[in-house]
Amino acid sequence: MNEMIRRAAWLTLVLALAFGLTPTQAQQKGTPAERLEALIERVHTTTNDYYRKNLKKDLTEEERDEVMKHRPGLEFLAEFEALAVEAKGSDVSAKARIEELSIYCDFQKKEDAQKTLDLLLTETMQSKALEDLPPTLVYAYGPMAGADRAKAALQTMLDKSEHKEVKASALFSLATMSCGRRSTAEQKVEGRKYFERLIEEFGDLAPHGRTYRESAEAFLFELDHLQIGMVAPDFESIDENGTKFKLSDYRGKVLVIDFWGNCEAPAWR
Amino acid sequence: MAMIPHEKALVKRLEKEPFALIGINSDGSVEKLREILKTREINWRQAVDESTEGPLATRWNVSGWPTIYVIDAKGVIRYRDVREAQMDEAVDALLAELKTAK
Repeated sequence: MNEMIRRAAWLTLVLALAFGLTPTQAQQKGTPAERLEALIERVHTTTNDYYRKNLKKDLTEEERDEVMKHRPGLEFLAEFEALAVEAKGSDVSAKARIEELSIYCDFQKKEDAQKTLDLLLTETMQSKALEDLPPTLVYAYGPMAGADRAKAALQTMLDKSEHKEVKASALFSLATMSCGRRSTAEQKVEGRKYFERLIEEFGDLAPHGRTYRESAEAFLFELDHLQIGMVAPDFESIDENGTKFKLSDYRGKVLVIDFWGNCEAPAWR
Repeated sequence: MAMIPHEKALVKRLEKEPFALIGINSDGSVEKLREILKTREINWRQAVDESTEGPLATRWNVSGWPTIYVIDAKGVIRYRDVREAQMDEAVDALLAELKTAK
């Protein structure tokens, strides 16, 4: 009898540890949206702390590789997926899976990335949160899985979504992908068509304070005036001494112009 | 910023050639830029564009920094985003071209 009680107590303790007191359970306060936000915040803080602690300036290349290899990320996947399942079909689910997709791409987990993307484009195809998916497809998924796959996903969003914000975001990314520095002339022709369609159908939408019309026109200006072999468009500016000058003042000289700044981080707009 | 030592060497090496380097800076006001130029000992001309959304960066659709254009003596864009040794080669080729043309 004593033996049985001891066993039961032991079993209860094990079960409590396994299911009752895990960190995920402990953090289950608030709506799924609030918990997702808290989780994203935790990923950021953990990652920043990790780099601040480990990425010292005088590291050798091997040491630096070692630090990068053990960077945080994968350990958060289960929590994101739990939220995605709990809030199935909702915006929260879509957002959680977009985070998962970035992590999988960051760690070059091709198959898992593919599965996550497939779920995004089935379970949450009609979520407005997919508006934020295109940059991940362009900058993370595309470089890993190939530009064609990224484009196929963008095309699906453009064709199937009922939200104009999602369609426009997908179309904008299709357009920019076709007009990259290494794009062929043919791809650029295609890119121009995407930009023209973007202006026509979604020109007045302004997702980040800038209308798609303005952004698209800037890209069309680049296609028309800033390609290799074209005469550089003239500009006038003021130098560090307050003197006005023009680009065309430099005719007769070989000229390098360097757009630079202290914060030389890549930015997408 | 990473390119400054190389650009300094390039400007010095070609100081007697028909060559110029212009920085289009996105760091802020002219006062702030002057400070940066002084600390970093940068002596080539700058266009004060004030921010990453300044008028020139916007017009030229710049979305990554640095963005580089190499322009020949006729004002034609000949290279984009060449750095370090590639930038040297590009500039030298255009200077040689300019000399043969004369």
